[in-house]
Amino acid sequence: MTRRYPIPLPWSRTTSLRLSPEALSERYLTVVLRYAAVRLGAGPEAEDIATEVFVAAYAAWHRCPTPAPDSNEHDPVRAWLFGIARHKVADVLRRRQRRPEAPLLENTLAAPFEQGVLDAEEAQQLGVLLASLPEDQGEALRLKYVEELSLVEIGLILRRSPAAVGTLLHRARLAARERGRTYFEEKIR
Amino acid sequence: MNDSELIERLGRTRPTITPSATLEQRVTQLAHAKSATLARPVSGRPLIQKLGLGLAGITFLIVGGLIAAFGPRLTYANTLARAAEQLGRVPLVHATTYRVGANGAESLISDAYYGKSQTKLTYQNEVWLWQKENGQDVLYAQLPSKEVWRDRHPAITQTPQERLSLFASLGKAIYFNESFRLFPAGNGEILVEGPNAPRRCLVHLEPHDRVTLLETQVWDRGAWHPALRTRLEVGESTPALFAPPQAAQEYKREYKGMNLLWAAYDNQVKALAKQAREAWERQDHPRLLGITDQWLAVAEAQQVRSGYGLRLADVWLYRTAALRSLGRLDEARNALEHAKRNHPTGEEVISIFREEADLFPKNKGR
Repeated sequence: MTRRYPIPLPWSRTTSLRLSPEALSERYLTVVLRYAAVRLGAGPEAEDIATEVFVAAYAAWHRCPTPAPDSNEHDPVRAWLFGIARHKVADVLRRRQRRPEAPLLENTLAAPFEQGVLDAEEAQQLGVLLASLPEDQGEALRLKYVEELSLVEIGLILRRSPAAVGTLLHRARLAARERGRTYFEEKIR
Repeated sequence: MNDSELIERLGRTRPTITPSATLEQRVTQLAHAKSATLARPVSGRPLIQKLGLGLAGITFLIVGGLIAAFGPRLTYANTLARAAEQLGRVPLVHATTYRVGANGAESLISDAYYGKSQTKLTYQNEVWLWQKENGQDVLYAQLPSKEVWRDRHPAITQTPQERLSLFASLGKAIYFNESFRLFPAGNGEILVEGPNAPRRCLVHLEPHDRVTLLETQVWDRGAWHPALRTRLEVGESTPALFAPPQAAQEYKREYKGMNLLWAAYDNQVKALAKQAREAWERQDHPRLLGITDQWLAVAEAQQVRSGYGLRLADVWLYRTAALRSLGRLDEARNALEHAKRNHPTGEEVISIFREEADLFPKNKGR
């Protein structure tokens, strides 16, 4: 039986405001899976990563932040889960580098894209482009423009201030434009 | 490609993906398992909740600790306060204080009666009497030398607490105040122990918080030993107990000055001193010598001891001057020695001589 106290105790970390485990999985499973799929490609590997993320999240439940009650833009719970997912994905990518089983770049953006918007070749080129950038710049571009996270959330994941994230994004865009110029200009012509 | 195109292309790479049924089931099971774990008040909870202590438990512990720490002290302090108030209500308290020897034998030191507005203390053959006169506290003292004097004095115990502490202090014990520790000694006794003091006071209480015994104990050779005992008895007050000394009554009729028999002597001496001064100014040395004879006779009759001011020195100074002028030098020197002995600062007598009398010109300039 869950012990309940009539007033929130100072050491209980506002238990009543925290999400339940069921609500966490219900609300964030899709976004975590999408993040894994963007990095690793859609498939059982992304689903395994999503499962591992929730296993880790439940194990570290006491660190789960309280959702901001009146902010739809800054979701600390989503940032916390993405932080876990980022480490899990990095582990998989390191394993792949040590034992390459499949072409690394092919799966980079191998998920089923929004219908009729991007062709496979263009998606693959964007994947190559992001992979060629420094890791934090590529991650910042993905989190900002693919996952549409706020600067605050990206800062929580990358452990930087929002201002530093803004600077990082600016540099990432410059580098991406420079490196993707040849391919995309030819394609436009 | 500009920024907008890059952002647009990146945005379009967002995959449309939905979790498989297997994944959903797996994660849902994880969530249920976590919920079940959280429902058990064991792991992952703060220590206080693990121990089953809620707000009420913590409050109970804190309040209990405070009661355990300060409760006895407050209880015994309250008991002593009640006892003191009781002593303040009774019409008379008779307190006898004894010195306790090493073999346990008691010898009387002081005997005191505490009335509502009067206190009489007999201490080593001295009688001290405090009483109210015209709203003021007045002290009479009858000393073994038969001197009786009277003065304003604030020593009458005003409050029960002061009275109880006075009993303790009369027994050379300790005052009761907030810096002392109180604890029970069994048999209805309370120990009052001061900080860093090698002595303590044992307060013996009869039923209804009546104090009957105060015992001062001293720490000696690794143990507490009784040193002084003050026994307290209550009774009815009678005027005879607080009758002032006869001399003091006479004084009350005749004088309003500071001293008692001393004042009569003082008046006589004043007259003699005036006559001596006049004889000295007229250089009537035989008369001056006669006046000093009378003066010394008065002092002898009243048993005025030396040390009561300059007057006794004055008479010897006048006598020295008279004898010197009459050529009785040996007696003059003898009188001068008396003047020195009776003067608070004997050496000062010499300077007085040099300035006023110049009795010994041959010593001038030394």
